[in-house]
Amino acid sequence: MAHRRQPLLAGTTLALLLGLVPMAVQAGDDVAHWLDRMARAVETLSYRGTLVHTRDGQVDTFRIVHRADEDGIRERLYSVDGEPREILRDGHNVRTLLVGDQSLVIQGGIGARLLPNLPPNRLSHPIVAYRMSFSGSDRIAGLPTRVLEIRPRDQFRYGHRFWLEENTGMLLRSALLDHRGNYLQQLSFVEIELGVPISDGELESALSDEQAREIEIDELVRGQQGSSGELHRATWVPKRLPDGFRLASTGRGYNSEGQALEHLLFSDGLASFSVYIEARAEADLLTSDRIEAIGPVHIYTGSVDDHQVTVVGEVPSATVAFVARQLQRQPAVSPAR
Amino acid sequence: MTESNREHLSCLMDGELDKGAGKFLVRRLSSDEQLSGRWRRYHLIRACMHNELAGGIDLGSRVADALAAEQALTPKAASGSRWFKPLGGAAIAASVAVAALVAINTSLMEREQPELLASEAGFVSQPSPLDHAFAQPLVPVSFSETSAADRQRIRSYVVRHNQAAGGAGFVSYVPIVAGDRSPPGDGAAAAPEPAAAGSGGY
Repeated sequence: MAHRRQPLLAGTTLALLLGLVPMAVQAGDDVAHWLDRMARAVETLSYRGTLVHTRDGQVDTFRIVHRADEDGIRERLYSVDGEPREILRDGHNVRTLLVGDQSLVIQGGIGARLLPNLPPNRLSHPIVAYRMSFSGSDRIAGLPTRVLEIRPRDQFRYGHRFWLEENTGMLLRSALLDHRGNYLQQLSFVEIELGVPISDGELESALSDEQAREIEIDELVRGQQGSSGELHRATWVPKRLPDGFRLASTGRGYNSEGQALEHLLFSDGLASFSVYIEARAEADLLTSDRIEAIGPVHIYTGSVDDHQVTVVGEVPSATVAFVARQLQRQPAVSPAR
Repeated sequence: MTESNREHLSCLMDGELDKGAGKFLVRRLSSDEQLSGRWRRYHLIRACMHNELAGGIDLGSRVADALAAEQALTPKAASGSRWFKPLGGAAIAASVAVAALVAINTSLMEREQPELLASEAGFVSQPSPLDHAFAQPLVPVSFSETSAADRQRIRSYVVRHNQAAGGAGFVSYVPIVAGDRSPPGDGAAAAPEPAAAGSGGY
Protein backbone atom coordinates (compact mmCIF):
# COMPACT_ATOMS: atom_id res chain seq x y z
CA MET A 1 0.00 0.00 0.00
CA ALA A 2 2.81 2.32 0.88
CA HIS A 3 4.20 2.44 -2.68
CA ARG A 4 0.91 3.80 -3.96
CA ARG A 5 0.89 6.70 -1.56
CA GLN A 6 4.36 7.96 -2.31
CA PRO A 7 3.76 9.50 -5.78
CA LEU A 8 0.75 11.23 -4.38
CA LEU A 9 2.80 12.66 -1.52
CA ALA A 10 5.54 13.80 -3.90
CA GLY A 11 2.96 15.40 -6.13
CA THR A 12 1.44 17.28 -3.22
CA THR A 13 4.85 18.48 -2.08
CA LEU A 14 5.71 19.67 -5.59
CA ALA A 15 2.39 21.47 -5.91
CA LEU A 16 2.99 23.12 -2.55
CA LEU A 17 6.49 24.21 -3.56
CA LEU A 18 5.29 25.58 -6.89
CA GLY A 19 2.61 27.45 -5.06
CA LEU A 20 5.00 28.86 -2.50
CA VAL A 21 7.74 30.18 -4.75
CA PRO A 22 5.73 32.78 -6.67
CA MET A 23 4.04 33.74 -3.41
CA ALA A 24 7.37 34.67 -1.88
CA VAL A 25 8.52 36.53 -4.99
CA GLN A 26 5.56 38.84 -5.23
CA ALA A 27 5.07 39.21 -1.50
CA GLY A 28 5.02 43.01 -1.69
CA ASP A 29 2.22 43.29 -4.28
CA ASP A 30 0.47 40.39 -2.70
CA VAL A 31 0.29 42.07 0.71
CA ALA A 32 -1.25 45.21 -0.76
CA HIS A 33 -3.68 43.04 -2.71
CA TRP A 34 -4.69 41.20 0.47
CA LEU A 35 -5.15 44.48 2.33
CA ASP A 36 -7.57 45.58 -0.35
CA ARG A 37 -9.32 42.23 -0.22
CA MET A 38 -9.63 42.59 3.53
CA ALA A 39 -11.15 46.08 3.32
CA ARG A 40 -13.58 44.94 0.67
CA ALA A 41 -14.58 41.76 2.49
CA VAL A 42 -15.21 43.55 5.81
CA GLU A 43 -17.62 45.93 4.07
CA THR A 44 -19.21 43.98 1.23
CA LEU A 45 -19.83 40.55 2.78
CA SER A 46 -22.83 39.76 4.93
CA TYR A 47 -22.01 38.14 8.24
CA ARG A 48 -23.01 37.70 11.83
CA GLY A 49 -20.69 36.72 14.63
CA THR A 50 -19.26 37.21 18.10
CA LEU A 51 -16.23 39.39 18.64
CA VAL A 52 -13.94 39.40 21.64
CA HIS A 53 -11.89 42.48 22.39
CA THR A 54 -8.98 42.37 24.85
CA ARG A 55 -6.98 45.32 26.10
CA ASP A 56 -5.00 45.87 29.29
CA GLY A 57 -6.26 42.57 30.62
CA GLN A 58 -9.88 43.54 30.14
CA VAL A 59 -12.18 41.47 27.96
CA ASP A 60 -15.27 42.78 26.15
CA THR A 61 -17.63 40.72 24.04
CA PHE A 62 -19.66 42.10 21.14
CA ARG A 63 -22.17 40.74 18.69
CA ILE A 64 -21.94 41.99 15.14
CA VAL A 65 -24.52 41.80 12.36
CA HIS A 66 -23.40 43.16 9.01
CA ARG A 67 -25.41 43.24 5.82
CA ALA A 68 -24.34 44.42 2.38
CA ASP A 69 -26.86 44.33 -0.43
CA GLU A 70 -28.39 46.55 -3.13
CA ASP A 71 -29.78 48.82 -0.39
CA GLY A 72 -26.27 49.53 0.85
CA ILE A 73 -24.42 48.61 4.00
CA ARG A 74 -26.08 48.24 7.37
CA GLU A 75 -24.37 47.12 10.52
CA ARG A 76 -25.27 46.65 14.15
CA LEU A 77 -22.58 46.14 16.75
CA TYR A 78 -23.54 45.77 20.39
CA SER A 79 -21.95 44.76 23.65
CA VAL A 80 -23.14 41.64 25.43
CA ASP A 81 -21.28 42.32 28.67
CA GLY A 82 -20.85 45.39 30.86
CA GLU A 83 -22.89 48.50 30.20
CA PRO A 84 -25.02 48.46 27.05
CA ARG A 85 -23.22 50.02 24.12
CA GLU A 86 -24.27 49.92 20.52
CA ILE A 87 -23.13 51.21 17.16
CA LEU A 88 -25.58 51.33 14.27
CA ARG A 89 -24.39 52.07 10.77
CA ASP A 90 -26.55 52.74 7.79
CA GLY A 91 -24.44 53.74 4.85
CA HIS A 92 -22.48 56.78 5.96
CA ASN A 93 -24.77 57.39 8.87
CA VAL A 94 -23.37 56.20 12.17
CA ARG A 95 -25.19 56.24 15.48
CA THR A 96 -23.21 55.48 18.62
CA LEU A 97 -25.24 54.78 21.74
CA LEU A 98 -23.85 54.56 25.23
CA VAL A 99 -26.13 53.81 28.14
CA GLY A 100 -25.32 54.12 31.81
CA ASP A 101 -23.70 56.91 33.82
CA GLN A 102 -22.81 58.80 30.70
CA SER A 103 -25.56 57.94 28.30
CA LEU A 104 -24.82 59.54 25.00
CA VAL A 105 -25.83 59.35 21.39
CA ILE A 106 -23.43 60.49 18.71
CA GLN A 107 -25.08 60.68 15.38
CA GLY A 108 -23.85 61.85 12.04
CA GLY A 109 -23.23 61.07 8.42
CA ILE A 110 -19.84 62.22 7.32
CA GLY A 111 -19.44 60.99 3.79
CA ALA A 112 -15.76 61.53 3.76
CA ARG A 113 -14.57 58.43 2.05
CA LEU A 114 -12.64 59.27 -1.00
CA LEU A 115 -13.67 56.09 -2.75
CA PRO A 116 -16.83 54.43 -1.57
CA ASN A 117 -16.27 51.66 0.94
CA LEU A 118 -12.55 51.71 0.78
CA PRO A 119 -10.22 52.78 3.53
CA PRO A 120 -7.52 55.41 3.04
CA ASN A 121 -4.98 52.75 2.09
CA ARG A 122 -6.20 53.12 -1.48
CA LEU A 123 -4.80 56.60 -1.42
CA SER A 124 -1.16 56.34 -0.92
CA HIS A 125 0.24 53.25 -2.51
CA PRO A 126 2.89 52.22 -1.91
CA ILE A 127 2.65 52.26 1.87
CA VAL A 128 6.22 53.16 2.70
CA ALA A 129 6.08 53.55 6.44
CA TYR A 130 5.74 49.83 7.14
CA ARG A 131 7.37 46.53 6.39
CA MET A 132 4.77 43.98 5.43
CA SER A 133 4.99 40.23 5.07
CA PHE A 134 3.04 37.03 5.47
CA SER A 135 4.03 35.06 8.52
CA GLY A 136 2.23 31.77 8.15
CA SER A 137 -1.22 30.38 8.61
CA ASP A 138 -3.56 29.88 11.54
CA ARG A 139 -7.11 28.80 12.31
CA ILE A 140 -9.54 31.36 13.71
CA ALA A 141 -13.17 30.64 14.61
CA GLY A 142 -12.85 27.35 12.77
CA LEU A 143 -11.68 28.91 9.50
CA PRO A 144 -8.23 28.77 7.88
CA THR A 145 -6.46 32.12 7.77
CA ARG A 146 -3.19 33.56 6.57
CA VAL A 147 -1.37 35.89 8.93
CA LEU A 148 -0.25 39.26 7.68
CA GLU A 149 2.51 41.00 9.60
CA ILE A 150 2.84 44.78 9.40
CA ARG A 151 5.71 46.45 11.21
CA PRO A 152 6.13 50.20 11.45
CA ARG A 153 9.48 51.69 10.46
CA ASP A 154 9.40 54.27 13.25
CA GLN A 155 7.66 55.02 16.52
CA PHE A 156 5.03 57.35 15.09
CA ARG A 157 2.62 54.51 14.27
CA TYR A 158 1.60 51.08 15.47
CA GLY A 159 2.17 47.65 14.02
CA HIS A 160 -0.59 45.25 13.02
CA ARG A 161 -1.14 41.56 12.70
CA PHE A 162 -4.12 40.54 10.59
CA TRP A 163 -5.60 37.06 10.32
CA LEU A 164 -7.37 36.93 6.95
CA GLU A 165 -9.73 34.18 5.90
CA GLU A 166 -8.21 32.28 2.96
CA ASN A 167 -11.18 32.33 0.58
CA THR A 168 -12.63 35.78 1.13
CA GLY A 169 -9.89 37.85 2.79
CA MET A 170 -12.30 38.54 5.64
CA LEU A 171 -10.58 39.88 8.75
CA LEU A 172 -11.10 37.34 11.52
CA ARG A 173 -8.55 38.55 14.03
CA SER A 174 -6.68 41.80 14.38
CA ALA A 175 -3.88 42.66 16.77
CA LEU A 176 -2.41 46.07 17.38
CA LEU A 177 1.21 46.19 18.48
CA ASP A 178 3.54 48.91 19.64
CA HIS A 179 6.83 49.49 17.84
CA ARG A 180 8.56 46.95 20.08
CA GLY A 181 6.07 44.25 19.18
CA ASN A 182 4.06 44.24 22.43
CA TYR A 183 0.34 43.59 22.08
CA LEU A 184 -1.78 46.68 22.75
CA GLN A 185 -5.15 45.20 21.89
CA GLN A 186 -6.70 42.27 20.10
CA LEU A 187 -10.03 41.86 18.40
CA SER A 188 -11.06 38.40 17.32
CA PHE A 189 -14.07 36.54 16.07
CA VAL A 190 -14.77 33.54 18.25
CA GLU A 191 -17.64 32.51 16.01
CA ILE A 192 -18.74 33.80 12.60
CA GLU A 193 -21.25 32.94 9.90
CA LEU A 194 -20.08 34.30 6.55
CA GLY A 195 -22.39 34.98 3.63
CA VAL A 196 -25.65 34.47 5.51
CA PRO A 197 -28.94 36.33 4.90
CA ILE A 198 -29.59 39.04 7.53
CA SER A 199 -33.12 40.16 8.34
CA ASP A 200 -34.13 43.78 9.02
CA GLY A 201 -35.10 42.88 12.56
CA GLU A 202 -31.55 41.88 13.44
CA LEU A 203 -30.36 45.36 12.52
CA GLU A 204 -32.79 47.22 14.76
CA SER A 205 -31.52 48.82 17.94
CA ALA A 206 -32.59 47.21 21.19
CA LEU A 207 -31.54 50.15 23.33
CA SER A 208 -33.68 53.00 24.52
CA ASP A 209 -31.96 56.34 24.09
CA GLU A 210 -34.65 58.71 25.34
CA GLN A 211 -32.65 60.09 28.22
CA ALA A 212 -29.36 60.24 26.44
CA ARG A 213 -27.69 63.46 25.46
CA GLU A 214 -27.50 63.62 21.69
CA ILE A 215 -24.55 65.01 19.78
CA GLU A 216 -24.97 65.62 16.09
CA ILE A 217 -21.86 65.64 13.99
CA ASP A 218 -21.79 66.80 10.44
CA GLU A 219 -19.20 68.01 8.05
CA LEU A 220 -18.59 68.98 4.47
CA VAL A 221 -15.53 67.14 3.34
CA ARG A 222 -13.38 67.39 0.30
CA GLY A 223 -11.22 64.41 -0.46
CA GLN A 224 -8.36 64.69 -2.85
CA GLN A 225 -5.86 62.48 -4.52
CA GLY A 226 -3.11 65.02 -5.10
CA SER A 227 -2.95 66.34 -1.60
CA SER A 228 -0.05 68.76 -1.55
CA GLY A 229 -1.89 71.51 -3.42
CA GLU A 230 -4.84 71.23 -1.10
CA LEU A 231 -2.68 71.55 1.97
CA HIS A 232 -1.61 75.01 0.85
CA ARG A 233 -5.20 76.12 0.77
CA ALA A 234 -5.89 75.03 4.35
CA THR A 235 -5.87 77.80 6.94
CA TRP A 236 -3.81 75.72 9.34
CA VAL A 237 -0.97 73.38 8.48
CA PRO A 238 1.62 71.42 10.43
CA LYS A 239 5.13 72.61 9.56
CA ARG A 240 6.33 69.03 9.58
CA LEU A 241 4.70 65.62 9.62
CA PRO A 242 6.08 62.26 10.66
CA ASP A 243 7.42 60.44 7.58
CA GLY A 244 4.84 58.83 5.35
CA PHE A 245 1.79 60.79 6.50
CA ARG A 246 -0.02 62.82 3.85
CA LEU A 247 -3.10 64.95 3.80
CA ALA A 248 -6.05 62.77 2.78
CA SER A 249 -8.88 65.27 3.04
CA THR A 250 -9.93 68.62 4.44
CA GLY A 251 -13.33 69.52 5.79
CA ARG A 252 -15.43 72.17 7.46
CA GLY A 253 -18.20 71.55 9.92
CA TYR A 254 -19.63 72.40 13.31
CA ASN A 255 -18.80 70.93 16.68
CA SER A 256 -21.35 69.77 19.23
CA GLU A 257 -21.74 73.35 20.52
CA GLY A 258 -22.46 74.66 17.06
CA GLN A 259 -19.09 76.32 16.55
CA ALA A 260 -17.32 76.17 13.22
CA LEU A 261 -14.40 73.83 12.92
CA GLU A 262 -11.76 73.09 10.36
CA HIS A 263 -10.67 69.51 9.82
CA LEU A 264 -7.53 68.01 8.33
CA LEU A 265 -7.30 64.25 7.87
CA PHE A 266 -3.87 62.68 7.47
CA SER A 267 -3.06 59.10 6.56
CA ASP A 268 0.02 56.99 5.95
CA GLY A 269 -2.01 54.35 4.16
CA LEU A 270 -2.86 52.38 7.29
CA ALA A 271 -2.89 54.71 10.26
CA SER A 272 -4.70 58.01 10.22
CA PHE A 273 -5.23 61.00 12.46
CA SER A 274 -7.42 64.08 12.32
CA VAL A 275 -6.65 67.64 13.27
CA TYR A 276 -9.62 69.78 14.36
CA ILE A 277 -9.25 73.53 14.81
CA GLU A 278 -11.97 75.65 16.38
CA ALA A 279 -11.99 79.38 17.05
CA ARG A 280 -12.62 80.12 20.70
CA ALA A 281 -14.62 83.11 21.90
CA GLU A 282 -12.51 85.28 24.21
CA ALA A 283 -14.70 84.57 27.20
CA ASP A 284 -14.04 80.88 26.83
CA LEU A 285 -11.20 79.35 28.67
CA LEU A 286 -8.81 77.54 26.41
CA THR A 287 -8.02 74.10 27.67
CA SER A 288 -4.48 73.46 28.74
CA ASP A 289 -2.43 71.03 26.67
CA ARG A 290 -3.12 67.43 27.51
CA ILE A 291 -3.37 63.99 25.99
CA GLU A 292 -6.10 61.48 26.68
CA ALA A 293 -5.90 57.81 25.82
CA ILE A 294 -8.71 55.44 24.94
CA GLY A 295 -6.53 52.38 24.73
CA PRO A 296 -4.30 52.96 21.70
CA VAL A 297 -6.34 55.94 20.49
CA HIS A 298 -4.79 59.23 21.59
CA ILE A 299 -6.46 62.59 21.76
CA TYR A 300 -4.41 65.75 22.13
CA THR A 301 -6.21 68.88 23.27
CA GLY A 302 -4.43 72.20 23.29
CA SER A 303 -4.46 75.69 21.95
CA VAL A 304 -2.68 77.64 19.24
CA ASP A 305 -3.33 81.36 18.65
CA ASP A 306 -6.64 81.47 20.56
CA HIS A 307 -7.85 78.42 18.73
CA GLN A 308 -8.57 75.08 20.26
CA VAL A 309 -6.71 72.26 18.59
CA THR A 310 -7.69 68.61 18.87
CA VAL A 311 -5.57 65.90 17.28
CA VAL A 312 -7.09 62.44 17.37
CA GLY A 313 -6.16 59.08 15.93
CA GLU A 314 -5.15 55.50 16.58
CA VAL A 315 -1.50 56.50 16.75
CA PRO A 316 1.02 56.77 19.62
CA SER A 317 0.77 59.78 21.92
CA ALA A 318 4.03 61.11 20.51
CA THR A 319 2.42 61.44 17.09
CA VAL A 320 -0.56 63.53 18.19
CA ALA A 321 1.68 65.69 20.40
CA PHE A 322 4.22 66.17 17.62
CA VAL A 323 1.63 67.19 15.05
CA ALA A 324 -0.19 69.53 17.44
CA ARG A 325 3.04 71.35 18.20
CA GLN A 326 3.85 71.73 14.53
CA LEU A 327 0.57 73.46 13.72
CA GLN A 328 0.73 77.00 12.51
CA ARG A 329 -1.60 79.39 10.81
CA GLN A 330 -1.07 80.07 7.14
CA PRO A 331 -0.21 83.78 6.72
CA ALA A 332 -2.70 84.26 3.89
CA VAL A 333 -4.11 82.23 1.07
CA SER A 334 -1.79 83.00 -1.81
CA PRO A 335 -3.34 83.43 -5.25
CA ALA A 336 -2.79 80.67 -7.76
CA ARG A 337 0.41 80.92 -9.71
CA MET B 1 53.69 80.50 42.92
CA THR B 2 56.48 80.19 40.42
CA GLU B 3 56.28 79.42 36.75
CA SER B 4 58.14 76.14 37.34
CA ASN B 5 55.54 75.11 39.90
CA ARG B 6 52.75 75.61 37.37
CA GLU B 7 54.68 73.69 34.80
CA HIS B 8 55.28 70.87 37.26
CA LEU B 9 51.60 70.79 38.10
CA SER B 10 50.66 70.55 34.45
CA CYS B 11 53.25 67.80 33.93
CA LEU B 12 51.91 65.88 36.93
CA MET B 13 48.41 66.00 35.45
CA ASP B 14 49.72 64.57 32.23
CA GLY B 15 51.76 61.95 34.07
CA GLU B 16 54.99 63.36 32.67
CA LEU B 17 56.67 64.40 35.89
CA ASP B 18 59.57 62.27 37.07
CA LYS B 19 59.11 60.24 40.24
CA GLY B 20 61.14 62.40 42.60
CA ALA B 21 59.61 65.68 41.54
CA GLY B 22 56.18 64.03 41.59
CA LYS B 23 56.57 62.97 45.20
CA PHE B 24 57.65 66.43 46.13
CA LEU B 25 54.78 68.12 44.35
CA VAL B 26 52.14 65.80 45.80
CA ARG B 27 53.46 66.56 49.28
CA ARG B 28 53.22 70.27 48.55
CA LEU B 29 49.76 69.88 47.07
CA SER B 30 48.47 68.44 50.30
CA SER B 31 49.67 71.41 52.32
CA ASP B 32 49.65 74.36 49.89
CA GLU B 33 46.13 75.84 49.61
CA GLN B 34 46.97 77.94 46.57
CA LEU B 35 48.60 75.08 44.73
CA SER B 36 45.78 72.65 45.42
CA GLY B 37 43.29 75.29 44.23
CA ARG B 38 45.19 75.55 41.00
CA TRP B 39 45.31 71.75 40.74
CA ARG B 40 41.50 71.72 41.05
CA ARG B 41 41.09 74.42 38.40
CA TYR B 42 43.39 72.63 35.99
CA HIS B 43 41.24 69.52 36.26
CA LEU B 44 38.11 71.56 35.74
CA ILE B 45 39.59 73.15 32.63
CA ARG B 46 40.64 69.81 31.28
CA ALA B 47 37.22 68.32 31.97
CA CYS B 48 35.63 71.21 30.10
CA MET B 49 37.99 70.82 27.19
CA HIS B 50 37.21 67.13 26.98
CA ASN B 51 33.46 67.76 27.34
CA GLU B 52 33.53 65.70 30.47
CA LEU B 53 32.04 68.25 32.82
CA ALA B 54 28.75 67.19 34.34
CA GLY B 55 27.30 70.32 35.91
CA GLY B 56 27.12 70.44 39.65
CA ILE B 57 29.72 67.77 40.29
CA ASP B 58 32.76 69.48 41.77
CA LEU B 59 35.24 66.77 41.07
CA GLY B 60 38.22 68.90 42.07
CA SER B 61 36.96 69.49 45.57
CA ARG B 62 36.12 65.83 45.91
CA VAL B 63 39.68 64.96 45.01
CA ALA B 64 40.87 67.50 47.55
CA ASP B 65 38.52 66.07 50.17
CA ALA B 66 39.78 62.60 49.45
CA LEU B 67 43.34 63.87 49.82
CA ALA B 68 42.43 65.54 53.07
CA ALA B 69 40.85 62.35 54.36
CA GLU B 70 43.99 60.40 53.49
CA GLN B 71 46.02 63.11 55.15
CA ALA B 72 44.09 62.76 58.36
CA LEU B 73 44.77 59.05 58.53
CA THR B 74 48.43 59.00 57.59
CA PRO B 75 50.19 60.58 60.59
CA LYS B 76 49.16 57.79 62.96
CA ALA B 77 49.50 54.91 60.54
CA ALA B 78 52.76 55.95 59.01
CA SER B 79 55.71 55.87 61.34
CA GLY B 80 58.65 55.13 59.07
CA SER B 81 57.39 55.83 55.59
CA ARG B 82 56.00 59.35 55.74
CA TRP B 83 56.92 59.88 52.11
CA PHE B 84 55.14 56.94 50.75
CA LYS B 85 51.67 57.13 52.31
CA PRO B 86 50.54 60.56 51.09
CA LEU B 87 51.60 59.62 47.60
CA GLY B 88 49.58 56.41 47.83
CA GLY B 89 46.58 58.44 48.96
CA ALA B 90 46.96 60.84 46.07
CA ALA B 91 47.23 57.99 43.64
CA ILE B 92 44.03 56.44 44.95
CA ALA B 93 42.24 59.79 44.89
CA ALA B 94 43.40 60.39 41.35
CA SER B 95 42.29 56.98 40.22
CA VAL B 96 38.91 57.59 41.86
CA ALA B 97 38.71 60.82 39.89
CA VAL B 98 39.46 59.05 36.63
CA ALA B 99 36.91 56.35 37.40
CA ALA B 100 34.35 59.00 38.24
CA LEU B 101 34.98 60.78 34.96
CA VAL B 102 34.59 57.54 33.05
CA ALA B 103 31.41 56.72 34.95
CA ILE B 104 29.90 60.13 34.30
CA ASN B 105 30.75 59.85 30.66
CA THR B 106 29.18 56.45 30.17
CA SER B 107 26.11 57.37 32.17
CA LEU B 108 25.63 60.41 29.95
CA MET B 109 25.97 58.25 26.88
CA GLU B 110 23.51 55.72 28.22
CA ARG B 111 21.02 58.46 28.85
CA GLU B 112 21.25 59.52 25.22
CA GLN B 113 20.94 56.04 23.78
CA PRO B 114 18.01 54.13 25.33
CA GLU B 115 15.46 54.63 22.51
CA LEU B 116 17.96 53.47 19.97
CA LEU B 117 18.96 50.35 21.87
CA ALA B 118 15.40 49.43 22.70
CA SER B 119 14.20 49.70 19.14
CA GLU B 120 17.10 47.66 17.83
CA ALA B 121 16.15 44.79 20.07
CA GLY B 122 12.48 44.80 19.30
CA PHE B 123 9.82 44.55 16.67
CA VAL B 124 11.01 47.29 14.41
CA SER B 125 12.42 50.36 13.60
CA GLN B 126 15.13 52.68 12.60
CA PRO B 127 15.32 55.80 14.70
CA SER B 128 14.30 58.88 12.77
CA PRO B 129 15.36 62.48 13.31
CA LEU B 130 11.87 63.11 14.66
CA ASP B 131 12.39 60.73 17.54
CA HIS B 132 13.33 63.52 19.93
CA ALA B 133 9.62 64.18 20.26
CA PHE B 134 9.48 61.13 22.51
CA ALA B 135 11.41 62.99 25.15
CA GLN B 136 8.51 65.38 25.61
CA PRO B 137 7.00 65.21 29.07
CA LEU B 138 3.28 65.21 28.20
CA VAL B 139 1.92 61.98 29.65
CA PRO B 140 -1.36 60.55 28.33
CA VAL B 141 -4.20 60.48 30.83
CA SER B 142 -6.36 57.40 30.89
CA PHE B 143 -9.81 58.08 29.55
CA SER B 144 -11.43 56.89 32.77
CA GLU B 145 -9.77 59.75 34.67
CA THR B 146 -11.35 62.34 32.41
CA SER B 147 -14.45 64.23 33.50
CA ALA B 148 -17.79 63.14 32.04
CA ALA B 149 -18.21 66.33 30.00
CA ASP B 150 -14.74 66.01 28.50
CA ARG B 151 -15.37 62.37 27.80
CA GLN B 152 -18.40 63.22 25.68
CA ARG B 153 -16.47 65.87 23.81
CA ILE B 154 -13.54 63.54 23.21
CA ARG B 155 -15.69 60.63 22.19
CA SER B 156 -17.49 62.75 19.64
CA TYR B 157 -14.13 63.67 18.13
CA VAL B 158 -13.08 60.04 17.97
CA VAL B 159 -16.32 59.03 16.25
CA ARG B 160 -16.01 62.02 13.93
CA HIS B 161 -12.47 61.04 13.01
CA ASN B 162 -13.44 57.40 12.50
CA GLN B 163 -16.25 58.35 10.17
CA ALA B 164 -14.02 60.62 8.17
CA ALA B 165 -11.23 58.05 7.97
CA GLY B 166 -13.53 55.26 6.89
CA GLY B 167 -11.31 52.63 8.38
CA ALA B 168 -11.93 48.93 8.34
CA GLY B 169 -15.47 48.87 9.74
CA PHE B 170 -15.85 47.23 13.12
CA VAL B 171 -12.09 47.24 13.71
CA SER B 172 -12.16 50.99 14.15
CA TYR B 173 -15.48 51.17 16.01
CA VAL B 174 -15.14 48.46 18.65
CA PRO B 175 -12.10 49.99 20.38
CA ILE B 176 -13.99 53.24 21.00
CA VAL B 177 -16.74 51.62 23.00
CA ALA B 178 -14.70 48.75 24.45
CA GLY B 179 -12.79 48.84 27.68
CA ASP B 180 -14.90 51.65 29.04
CA ARG B 181 -17.44 49.87 31.15
CA SER B 182 -16.01 50.28 34.62
CA PRO B 183 -14.27 53.60 35.05
CA PRO B 184 -12.72 53.46 38.53
CA GLY B 185 -14.35 55.92 40.91
CA ASP B 186 -17.56 56.17 38.95
CA GLY B 187 -19.30 53.91 41.41
CA ALA B 188 -19.99 51.15 38.93
CA ALA B 189 -20.05 48.58 41.70
CA ALA B 190 -21.36 45.72 39.61
CA ALA B 191 -18.50 45.91 37.16
CA PRO B 192 -15.52 43.65 37.81
CA GLU B 193 -12.13 44.99 38.78
CA PRO B 194 -9.88 45.36 35.74
CA ALA B 195 -7.16 43.45 37.58
CA ALA B 196 -9.48 40.55 38.26
CA ALA B 197 -10.43 40.38 34.60
CA GLY B 198 -6.76 40.36 33.67
CA SER B 199 -5.96 37.33 35.78
CA GLY B 200 -8.57 35.24 34.07
CA GLY B 201 -6.17 32.94 32.29
CA TYR B 202 -6.01 34.61 28.88
